[in-house]
Amino acid sequence: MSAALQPLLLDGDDRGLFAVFHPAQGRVRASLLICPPFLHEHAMSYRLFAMLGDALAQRGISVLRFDYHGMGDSSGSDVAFSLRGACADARIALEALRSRTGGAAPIVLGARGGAFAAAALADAMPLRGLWLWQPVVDGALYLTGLKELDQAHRQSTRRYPNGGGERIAPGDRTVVGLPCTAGLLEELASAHIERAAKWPPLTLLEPADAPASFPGTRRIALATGLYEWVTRVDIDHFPPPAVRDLADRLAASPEIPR
Amino acid sequence: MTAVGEEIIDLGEGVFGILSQPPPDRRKSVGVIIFNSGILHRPGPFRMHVRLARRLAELGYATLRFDFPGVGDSLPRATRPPMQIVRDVLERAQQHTGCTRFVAGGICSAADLGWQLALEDERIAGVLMIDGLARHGRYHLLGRLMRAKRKSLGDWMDVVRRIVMRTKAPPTIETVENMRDWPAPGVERRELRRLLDRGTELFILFSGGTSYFLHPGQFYDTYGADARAPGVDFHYWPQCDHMMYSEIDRAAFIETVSDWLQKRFPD
Repeated sequence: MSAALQPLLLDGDDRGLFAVFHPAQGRVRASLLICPPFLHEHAMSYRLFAMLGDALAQRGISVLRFDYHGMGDSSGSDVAFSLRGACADARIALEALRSRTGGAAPIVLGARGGAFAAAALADAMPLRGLWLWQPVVDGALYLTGLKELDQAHRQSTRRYPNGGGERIAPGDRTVVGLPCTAGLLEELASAHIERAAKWPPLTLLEPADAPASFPGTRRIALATGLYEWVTRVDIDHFPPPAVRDLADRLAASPEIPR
Repeated sequence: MTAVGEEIIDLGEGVFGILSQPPPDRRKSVGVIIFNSGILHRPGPFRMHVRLARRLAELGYATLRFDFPGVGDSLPRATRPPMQIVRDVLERAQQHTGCTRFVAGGICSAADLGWQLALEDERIAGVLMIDGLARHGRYHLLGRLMRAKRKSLGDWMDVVRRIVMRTKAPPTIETVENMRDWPAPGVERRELRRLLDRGTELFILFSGGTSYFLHPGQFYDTYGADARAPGVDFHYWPQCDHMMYSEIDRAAFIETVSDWLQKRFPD
């Protein structure tokens, strides 16, 4: 393993989490926790956030990424994932980051559905900054989109030239291919992010032509190649120059000492 | 972190793996190595490799998953051929598990790699080959005709649109055969014979989600009489897509592979 990347198994209240720590190279300027997207978007974006974590570490920012319980390499079956659990996992991961970087308040990045966990941290404790990447603000709207995407894939004659996409075992619930509980669907349907007065400085990472999730906020426009994955189910490459450029812009954020 | 226990192991050159370890009283002499499905990182499509690894570990088979250089957490791109990398991974897997024989493979290019590794290294006692090598031939044509018969008017309009687009696009010579690392036609029959002579067990599954495998007859035409040998366990799942999007297919896959391993590698 290279010294630039440290895979970890975090234990917390029977929620064994897989995490990756990218220690800052050179002078440590800040620390960052990445709350990743969930469901199919977790796998779609995994490489992107691995590359971004590495690029930020090279710019003096220590980064910790993690998989939620029931996602990726963390413990738990697929149906173990819940929104409430994701918020608990983010706290475990934040403690793991703090234990490696000292007590200074970290920055938290919430990507897509990970914005729910990041916002919950910002509601609960002092942070140096909050970065939200194409955040899911309205859970019900998000769920509607997921169901439409799921239906499109199940009916796709390219994916299923011989039919068969509509098969679901009796009693099973799935969303974009992944098993889930009725509880998760209910949580998502009622989830909503409200900006709180006590939030730290907020930065949005969104495509330039997308409406701002929170108007009047500092915004970094995502380059082509960094945002299209949210509409896909099949993984694609991410352009390294665009990731490096984004890391430069994030590392120049006002909340990070030069 | 799970009932079976998982640990991170260093595989060298910036690569690590996650080893699902069986309970000590259930440990078998054969381990399993699952390769990446294309550029999808080690949990596999819709987390299927995680579930498969944990299930196999429960049954006593130590199972390793890792990211090839350039995939997932393996940040640097590969500087060596895949076969050199997997040989080193095999060494480390042997050191960590104590297993001297392994089953290796996966979906698509991972199936090709498992097959090639088995040809080179006698420690590979079994291959998991999902949507691996198959040639076109008469059954492919038959499969195309059968698919054409099932197409709706909308599907046909889509076909016409694609043909029009293709005539406008620059000519391309990309086919499955030259995108994948497949040997010259006919070589696979000799390779299968070699593997069977050595006692290699082969789990071979074709989904209905590829453009090159449209009829089970293709398998027998590709591999000849040895395709029916006792060491070959062949499955064709026409309603399953290439990435096993449906939970029904993933659950069936995990169960089928688990049953196959227990029958072919009971100790």
